[in-house]
Amino acid sequence: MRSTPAPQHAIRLRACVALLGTLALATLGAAATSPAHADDHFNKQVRPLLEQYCTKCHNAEKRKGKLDLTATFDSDVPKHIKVWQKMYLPIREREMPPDDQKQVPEEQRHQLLAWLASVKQGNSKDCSELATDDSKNFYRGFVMSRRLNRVEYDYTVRDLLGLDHDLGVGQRLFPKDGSGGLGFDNVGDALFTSPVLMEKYLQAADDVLTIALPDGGKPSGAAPSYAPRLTDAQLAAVRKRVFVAWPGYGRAPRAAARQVIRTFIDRAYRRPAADADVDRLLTMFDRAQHRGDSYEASVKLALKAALISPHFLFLVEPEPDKEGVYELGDHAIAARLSYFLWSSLPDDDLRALADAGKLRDKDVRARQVRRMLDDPKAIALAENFGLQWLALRDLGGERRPDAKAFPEFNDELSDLLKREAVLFVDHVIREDRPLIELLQADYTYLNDKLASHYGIDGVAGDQMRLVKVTDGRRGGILGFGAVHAVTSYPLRTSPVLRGKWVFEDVLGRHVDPPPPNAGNLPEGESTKGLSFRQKLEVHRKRPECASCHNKMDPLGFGLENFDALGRWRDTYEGHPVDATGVLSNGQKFEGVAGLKKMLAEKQRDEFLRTFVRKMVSYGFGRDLTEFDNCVVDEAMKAMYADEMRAQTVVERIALSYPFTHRYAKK
Amino acid sequence: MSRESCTISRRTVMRGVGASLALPLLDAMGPRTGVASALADADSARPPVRMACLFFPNGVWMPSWIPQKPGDQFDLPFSLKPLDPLKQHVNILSGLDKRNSHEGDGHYAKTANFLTGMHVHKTTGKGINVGSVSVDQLAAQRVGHLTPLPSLELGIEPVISGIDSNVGYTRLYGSYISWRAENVPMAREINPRLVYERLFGMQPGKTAASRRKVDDAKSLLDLVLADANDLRGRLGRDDQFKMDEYLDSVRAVEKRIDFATKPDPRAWKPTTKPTAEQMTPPAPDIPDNHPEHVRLMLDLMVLAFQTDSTRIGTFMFGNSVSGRNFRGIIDGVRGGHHEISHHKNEQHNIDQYQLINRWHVEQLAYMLDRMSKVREGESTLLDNSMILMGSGMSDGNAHDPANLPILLAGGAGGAFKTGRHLANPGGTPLCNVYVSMLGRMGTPVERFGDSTGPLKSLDA
Repeated sequence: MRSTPAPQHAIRLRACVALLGTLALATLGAAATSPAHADDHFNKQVRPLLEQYCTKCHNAEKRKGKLDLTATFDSDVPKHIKVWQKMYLPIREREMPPDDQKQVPEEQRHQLLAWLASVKQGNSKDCSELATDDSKNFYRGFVMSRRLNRVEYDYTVRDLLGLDHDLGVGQRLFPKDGSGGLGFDNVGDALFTSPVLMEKYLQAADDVLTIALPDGGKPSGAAPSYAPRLTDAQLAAVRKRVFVAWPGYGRAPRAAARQVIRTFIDRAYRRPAADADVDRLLTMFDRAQHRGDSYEASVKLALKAALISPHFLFLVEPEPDKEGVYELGDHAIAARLSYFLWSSLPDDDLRALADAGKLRDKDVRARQVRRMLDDPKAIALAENFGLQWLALRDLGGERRPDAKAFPEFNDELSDLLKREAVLFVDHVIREDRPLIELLQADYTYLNDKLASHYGIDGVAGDQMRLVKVTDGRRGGILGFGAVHAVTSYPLRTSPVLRGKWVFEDVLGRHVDPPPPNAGNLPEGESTKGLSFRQKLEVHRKRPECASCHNKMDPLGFGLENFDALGRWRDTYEGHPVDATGVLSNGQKFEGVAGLKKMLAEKQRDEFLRTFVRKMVSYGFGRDLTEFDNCVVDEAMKAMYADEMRAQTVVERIALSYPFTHRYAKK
Repeated sequence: MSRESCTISRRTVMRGVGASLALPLLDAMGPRTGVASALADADSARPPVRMACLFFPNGVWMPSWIPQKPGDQFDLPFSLKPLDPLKQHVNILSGLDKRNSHEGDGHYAKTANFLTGMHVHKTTGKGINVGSVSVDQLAAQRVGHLTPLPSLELGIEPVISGIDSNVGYTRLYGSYISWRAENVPMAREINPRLVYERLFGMQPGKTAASRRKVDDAKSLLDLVLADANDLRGRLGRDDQFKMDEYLDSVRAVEKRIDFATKPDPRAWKPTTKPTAEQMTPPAPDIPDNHPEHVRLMLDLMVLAFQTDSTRIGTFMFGNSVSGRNFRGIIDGVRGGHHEISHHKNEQHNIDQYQLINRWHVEQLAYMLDRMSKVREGESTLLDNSMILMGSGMSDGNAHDPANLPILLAGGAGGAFKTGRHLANPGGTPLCNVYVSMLGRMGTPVERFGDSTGPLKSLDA
């Protein structure tokens, strides 16, 4: 043991030992950080402000907003980094202290903000180091070897067979996956395997082989009815790709099968097949041969085993025997890259680089990121990351406008609305546009139907294409009809839901849930004859409602001109639409164009940071902790230095230390 | 290769059940001839007891749910009126509570633990945990091997996407009531056709091809079991748990196949054969029409019980916070379920809220009616079942976790006396009901969740 643990570490140590039972004393002791240090500036400058303006509510007893600032009076500033981060924006945006409380004088307010910002930055660690006490704790408990989700299953099968579209087997058979982390379905902690799914894996493997490799290469009536029909040319191509060897000309069936199996699982297992893997699958081939099945049928039985093997169904990241930080192998890195950008397995180029041991090289990896983003398969990033970031996936499913009130809504419109979002996000990433265009752009994606739905002239044909829009209404996520629809109730629009969407999903802020029994309009106060917005304003006058609704609702008012299907409206329920908003910091804007401009100019940093954080979480397949801020900060810095370009962010994530390193816990 | 054919893997017990279980369960880890079979065999002349737990989201309007008087002389309030013809088969339980749902916000901490009664760990992903295996899965782990399927998990809505950053929970919690272990939810099936195939698909023996397919499946599963065991050793600790889920799932399917290929261990045979209509496979796609979808799923649950394909089931009418629009389904209702449940004490919302409650009760009545018509010797399927239906909160407007709306229908094979309003003292653990139910499933426990003992007033 290199250092003696300070008392608080000893206590934690004991708890850990009690909990885990097997931890070696030496490792934890060595990682103990320096003891708490008193911070002079904090005690002289910051603490008095907290005591004067904050701790009346944020104390150990009241814990308003679940925040107790007196806990920071131990003056161990770095320890409370989460608190400082939580405080910064509410103060900057003048949400805190609330209006009815004593306000911090301007000069001191600026000093406090500057100090909070400096702790935020000052704490960032060396980005190429994982083995701090913090990082160890944070790595503990994250699941990183995970099963494929059902979208990844379909895309993986597509690329395994070399098809240009997926068969939809997983999406048909498997239950929908849940989400974790910052809201994505590629988070290992939230992906479970249960007996039902195992039964489905068996059936899916059957279906895949029946659809794509019918006996004798001829389309078969046995193919399930839900599957798309493959053309003869497609069937022949799959057959050629899979059956790389046939018996005959002195080659025994078993030798041919060995070659087919090896080639297949080199791809399917996302690593070079081991002899043991091949031999094990050959037992299935032997079994079928033994009872007189054809060569083809016998090979397919072995392939079926491969398709239900955990080597295929799980993205496996083996760990070394020794505890500590280690670099992932080339093939694990290749898989991380391909599932991040394509939601599918590595292609031949990527595999070749992994085989050659080159993917740990940052320059090589950077070039691969650019190449992969240029590939049509990269639309998966917009589909999976994009739609989940914007919370649009459930449109048309659980989120569905009322059929009587909105007879125009149908599955086709729902798909078009989502397609607009996918193609737009894909464009920004693939064309390496400045990310701020996500908020403010002079284009969007439409076809004739969607254009006429939006009331835009001059778009003919059902092909979705880039269309210039200059009136400020469309262009950017705030103009997506899909967004307007998912942030509405079945029968009406909701400035509250929309405001909450902007506040949380776009700006990454947090509001507490409403108190129980919220929602009563003040009694005795007539709201008859008022517009919906006016009624809501009455509601907002109650102080217990105002503190949150003042943050959210004004943002939502900016979208009042859109109905529940995303169509433009100038009047609502007989009243002219009032789409002005005033934020608690006094900023005022007019309509969606004003809202976009304000967000793009005044909240640019929050917006971009939220986007980057979400993408890091998606790229890592897990939740983020403060330790990951370092990756986020670096990506932000690189992005600003490069005209806010989208691919720079993707590249920084793929080049970051945690993307290729893990901590082995024993 | 290793064939760990115990009915419960040790880890499931260790991690899932914890200390709240009485000792007898450990016997289930013995071979199949152990206590569980003996229990069932002793009862072999009589039809087995079945249990189903039905969940509906967003709570109820209490004044039209709880009868005014306790005992067996009471009038059914508005929302329970559909039960009128079946009143003598139902108990209305009031005063029940889940202590561990008084902390934690909104819906999730009250849904995921509907059948565990334990604390729901607040997380958006890491360390998902509901404190215990759920009551249905506990029973399934003990007696599930006696039927082709240990249990059946059904639902209507797909798992909800995303996390609820507002309250800090993954929405996944709102989509599951059945948990195989405290940290592993049971996947639900929402497509009626796939449920049907699951119930009646894996029956070998008819043709040489189908026999071969089942044989192959056994070999395939053996092979991937070996793969998974190899792989497991190379993974980190947390990742190993994920491989354990895979291993457990493979073994479960193996057991299912074993059941189909070996002599049927059951002495009791279903006495009412399903009709041709019942055995007609549903259409391949999920019905657009919500009532039709719900009824199909309930039909399948009844069919599964009737044919003794399983004895344990769960069903979710909707996910927690479901915003399902009941316009066009219920006259007088327009708008989303969750939105309406936040009724703000406004009469026009309350009117719609209780109509939605009543609609759900109507579906229960439909199911009970069907079950009452399935003869099993001298009794009916309903007499031999325990059908629990309820929600994780009482008044949805306040997310009120106290005084839960719970109905328990069926005589549990003559053990429960029905036709009563059992008004329990406030704060009586809902888990006491589960202890009573587990007793009737041949899986007695002393405690479950936050229970203080069985709910004795249920007993006949």
